[in-house]
Amino acid sequence: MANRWGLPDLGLGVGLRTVHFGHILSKRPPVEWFEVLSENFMQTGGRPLWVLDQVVERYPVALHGVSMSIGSTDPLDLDYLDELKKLAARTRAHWVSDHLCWTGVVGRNTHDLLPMPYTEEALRHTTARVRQVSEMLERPLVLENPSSYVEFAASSMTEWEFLARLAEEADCGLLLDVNNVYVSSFNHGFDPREYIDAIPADRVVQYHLAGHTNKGTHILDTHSDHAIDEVWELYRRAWKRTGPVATLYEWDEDIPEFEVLHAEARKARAAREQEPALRTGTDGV
Amino acid sequence: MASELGLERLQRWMQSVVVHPGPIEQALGSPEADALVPAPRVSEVILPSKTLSSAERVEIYHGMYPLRMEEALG
Repeated sequence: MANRWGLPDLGLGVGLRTVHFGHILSKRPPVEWFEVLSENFMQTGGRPLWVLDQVVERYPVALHGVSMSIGSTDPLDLDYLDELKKLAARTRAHWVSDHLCWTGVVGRNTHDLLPMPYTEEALRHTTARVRQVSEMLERPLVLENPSSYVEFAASSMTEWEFLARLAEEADCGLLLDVNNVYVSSFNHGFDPREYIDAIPADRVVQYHLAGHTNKGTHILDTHSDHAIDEVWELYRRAWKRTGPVATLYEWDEDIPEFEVLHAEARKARAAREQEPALRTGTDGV
Repeated sequence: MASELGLERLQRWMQSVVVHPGPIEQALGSPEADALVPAPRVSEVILPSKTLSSAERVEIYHGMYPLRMEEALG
């Protein structure tokens, strides 16, 4: 167990997507785990929940959300959190994650992961909310570093400093999205290796890997295509620090056949084998 | 200083820009946004990058908003 909570290394997983439901149920592919997009299965019923129940019977899962809006100055949505807690219980989710971001204010949901200013005020605000959510969910919330396209003049610390302090002060876990680190490093002109090296390794409970779209002047986090070599290199660098941690490949635009997606996820195994985990000695997957 | 908005006002400003229809110049100059951050002072809130101006950086979120809403409603 690499992280401080003893949350398991589930191995190499992929996101559960509607287009793959038929394949997953009929072929039972040897995927080690699935990441379930929480909002797809909240306040719903019928076939989606039936499929989810089938998946849960066969595979370990973790929940991943996009609407908690943990950094928003609006009040927390307690109904959302109650639904989320019920879904976590139903799916026996190993952990529940969302993003370090805000999705809207004054009652509006923009359906985007909007960036935080990295200020002392934002840190205090977010820390208090993460603690409240963890208490409600009765488990440590896991937060993902988002990709971003703007930097606020008000920021008084780097993103990695903010994330590390938040994790310590709110006692939460981290989902380290290596592609997002690369995307933001390109957009903001920092060294992604410095980011990776500053993350508290024993709080990382999951990795994300993905492809992106380079527009020349900036990079968009599109979750399309294959991950580039630089992202794999960052993954290996992080892996050396954290030891065995569950890893998931995201592909949300022009989603390919399941086997193509699964093959991309399996590339992480090669990366793991090239960089034996220093902290725990071996890769247990 | 526009950079000292505070978290609540900063989020209200950014949301008002992101969700406003039309070109980014209109969004930055809308009454709601302009009341929080006068359009000519956007660079006091959003830093430019080596390749994009402050307005062009916010425009990335502004341009994605209709697509996000379409996805959410689809």
